[in-house]
Amino acid sequence: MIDLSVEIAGIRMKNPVMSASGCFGYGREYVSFLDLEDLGALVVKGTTLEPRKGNTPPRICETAAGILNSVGLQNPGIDSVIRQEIPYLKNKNVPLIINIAANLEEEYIELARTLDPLEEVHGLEVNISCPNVKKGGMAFGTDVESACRLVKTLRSVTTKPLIVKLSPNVTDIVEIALAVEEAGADALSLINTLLGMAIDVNRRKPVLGNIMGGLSGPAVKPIALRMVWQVSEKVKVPVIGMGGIMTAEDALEFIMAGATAVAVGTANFVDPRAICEIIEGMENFLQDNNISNINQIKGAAREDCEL
Amino acid sequence: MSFSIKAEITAHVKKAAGLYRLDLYAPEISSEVQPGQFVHLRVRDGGYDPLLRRPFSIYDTNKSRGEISIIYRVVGRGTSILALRPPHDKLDLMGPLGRPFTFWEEDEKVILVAGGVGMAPLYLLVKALLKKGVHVKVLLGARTEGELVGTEDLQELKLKPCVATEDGSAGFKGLVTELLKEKLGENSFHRLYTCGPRPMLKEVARVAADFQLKGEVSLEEIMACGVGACLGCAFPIKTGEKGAQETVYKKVCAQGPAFSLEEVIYD
Ligand SMILES: Cc1cc2nc3c(=O)[nH]c(=O)nc-3n(C[C@H](O)[C@H](O)[C@H](O)COP(=O)(O)OP(=O)(O)OC[C@H]3O[C@@H](n4cnc5c(N)ncnc54)[C@H](O)[C@@H]3O)c2cc1C
Ligand SMILES: Cc1cc2nc3c(=O)[nH]c(=O)nc-3n(C[C@H](O)[C@H](O)[C@H](O)COP(=O)(O)O)c2cc1C
Ligand code: FES
Repeated sequence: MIDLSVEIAGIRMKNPVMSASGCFGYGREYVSFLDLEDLGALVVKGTTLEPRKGNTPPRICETAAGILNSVGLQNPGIDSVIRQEIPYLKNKNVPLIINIAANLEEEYIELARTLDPLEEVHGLEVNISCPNVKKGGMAFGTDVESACRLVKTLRSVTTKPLIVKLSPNVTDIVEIALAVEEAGADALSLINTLLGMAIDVNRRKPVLGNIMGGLSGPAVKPIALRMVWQVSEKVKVPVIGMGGIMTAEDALEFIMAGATAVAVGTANFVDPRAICEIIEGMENFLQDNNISNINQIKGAAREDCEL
Repeated sequence: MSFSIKAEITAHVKKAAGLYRLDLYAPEISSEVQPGQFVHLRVRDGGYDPLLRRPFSIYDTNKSRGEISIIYRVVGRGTSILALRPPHDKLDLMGPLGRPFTFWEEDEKVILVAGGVGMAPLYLLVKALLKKGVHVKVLLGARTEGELVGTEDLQELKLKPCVATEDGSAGFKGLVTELLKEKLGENSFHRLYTCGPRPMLKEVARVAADFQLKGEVSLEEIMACGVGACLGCAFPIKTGEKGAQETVYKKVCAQGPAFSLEEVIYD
């Protein structure tokens, strides 16, 4: 028996592959194609206190081996998510992680307070890294002091595992990672999308309605992997690696770089069964290499690599 | 129910310059599809160029053979690659996806307006309406004769579409919306369905409103997931009662592609 199970901040997952926020809706969009219970954990779309309308279309632009998106956190707001989406997921045997986003510290706090009593919510992923909203969002994730203050306050209002999602749009991701760990984060997710843009030369205008957007997909994988490598060397809390994971091999790279688990985003758009294929591929890899437990290869690439 | 399958190409024919018809063996999809729904396909098996799938309306079905057909125009990288795929190749296909067109039992006479390849989601609708005994009038518009879609197929259904081309190479010389105005002046209809380029849709909606004719429109927007998960395909839609209307973004892939003609904000 191959053991793929991992634990992140007390959340027990039967395998290390979760959905990346914003790339898997609320799960039910994919039930025609896979069994939600096969996922390691389900992370839902970024949820704000009030409903968000989202940004002006077009919101998607394909780039070389990637996509730019400027969705802008369109979501129905926390009350609606609790009423309309969480009940559906409640009876599924899969850990549920709610990704929360806000402009203001008070809003994050209110979100955490609202979700704290819900036992069907297994953890909170705090998005301090959305590049697609004007205020807040990434502003928290790019400033060490405000990130720290936010995480400290959140720590004091919820007992739920706090996973802090980091932005790659910083000079030194290790500095931020260490700071939010110190402030009380139970785990770190990285990376969110990289700020980018594209121009339509015929129209002489930016392609995206919001001008700039977040880059994801295979194009960002080397950067994501490097950041996971750097961060997992320094922090003690588990790291969830993401950014361009399309195959089992990609996922294994992140695990070997030091991640405890991984999340799959853009790949779901290419293949609605991507998460399941990746889990299966990882299992096969372990089998073929006579490894009985996924944790045995965590950080494997670090051995003998003195930095 | 939607499926993710590998579908074999049973036929792939060039209909005119840059216009292709692709038949696929997809029995699951063929037996489920309703008019106005689409498939989301990978133009090539592996690789990351292009990365995303491409959405295409299901143009026709042959249920006894388990087939579906799409009609597409080559407009860029993805469709150029698709055009090279030979029969017997297999394509990654998701479908049927999206909200289909609505039928109203009381409708006896409906009018359809298609701009070029905009005929694609309307052909199955025509067939379904005829089966219900509804009288169907079809208006086809294009820049030039070679860009008209569906003329022969409609004739096979014993329908005579009214044609408008901008260069006058076939039918009425001018815009299909001018033809629409004329037809609505002569006859009354219970419903209008349309698909085509955005400026055309805008004008169709305006003309229909002038005649107090209600209907549905099939919209297009760039898509990533195709199933309502990414919120990438948002289109501005009016909601709420008159006087207290607001704009919301709806998902073309899951809340559409069929929307009511009056609720869409076209620019
Ligand atoms: C629900 C739906 C049904 C569709 N049905 C058909 C159909 O039956 N037949 C058909 O020929 N086309 C259809 N389209 C449009 C088709 O999906 C695009 O033409 C195709 O994706 C272009 O791919 P490409 O790689 O060749 O173009 P690209 O190189 O990606 O782009 C070329 C041009 O096409 C435009 N384009 C790209 N994607 C889309 C899109 N999803 N919708 C509209 N324009 C786009 C771009 O803005 C650009 O101007 C449909 C679109 C939708 C959303
Ligand atoms: C369309 C889209 C929407 C996203 N929405 C969110 C979101 O709401 N909250 C969040 O924390 N990250 C969001 N992300 C970022 C992803 O969760 C992920 O961090 C990033 O896309 C990198 O992974 P990938 O390359 O596998 O997609 C979104 C990404 C995409 C492509
Ligand atoms: S394409 Fe993803 S929501 Fe429509």
